[in-house]
Amino acid sequence: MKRILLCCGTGVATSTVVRRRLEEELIRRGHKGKFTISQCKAVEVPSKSKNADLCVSTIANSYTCHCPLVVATNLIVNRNTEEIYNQIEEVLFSD
Amino acid sequence: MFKKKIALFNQSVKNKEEALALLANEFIKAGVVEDNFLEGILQREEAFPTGLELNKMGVAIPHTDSEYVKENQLGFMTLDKPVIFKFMGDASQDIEVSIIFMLALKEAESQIEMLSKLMDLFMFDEVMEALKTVDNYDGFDEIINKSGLLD
Repeated sequence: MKRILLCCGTGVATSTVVRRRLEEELIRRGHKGKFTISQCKAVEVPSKSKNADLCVSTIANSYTCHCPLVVATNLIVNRNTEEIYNQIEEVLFSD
Repeated sequence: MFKKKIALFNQSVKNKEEALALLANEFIKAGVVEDNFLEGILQREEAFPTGLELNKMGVAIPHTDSEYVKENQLGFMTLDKPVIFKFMGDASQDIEVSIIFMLALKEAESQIEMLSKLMDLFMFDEVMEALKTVDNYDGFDEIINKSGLLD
């Protein structure tokens, strides 16, 4: 089970929107049941990223992240999404 | 989500702070947020900017922690000339913003449909163009209603 940490500034607005889009896309790509997603605020990334396989952030994250990080702001506006989903898929499911 | 009808059209402002103050004050007047809502909005915008680049324009979605919020509410504002916000994904990039959607969210979980629909709107250039030029609440309401955003 891969653990995805989704973060945004407040941990509620944009990460909630991106969460749904990401879930749908990972399921569409055949990864149903292989991942869990939790959300947090940016300030919680240094502690929570220790227990995650990937951090997906909607903001430019200046905090220390202890796992691979993908900045996914463009998922909010649905621009260049393939590139971002490919990156996420590669980090999580390339093995 | 627009039940207090917070919408300001073609405002002339010098900078983003002035824009945010104008819009946040409408929320305070409507009684849907705490009196220090503007401080929360400004702090959050400084720490985590909310500017987004669309195909044909920039938008910003300022919001802040739920502790500043009493009731879920959206506010809308257009600017006659764009002001500079920082890009959410990289604060070293400037975005010229002409439309602002301010979000007051008590908890986002119950609002996920609305938030997703709102952000879906950003993909439709013609809808955004219409929102940019609308100058009255009824016209705004019509555009938003067609999008299925209002509950």
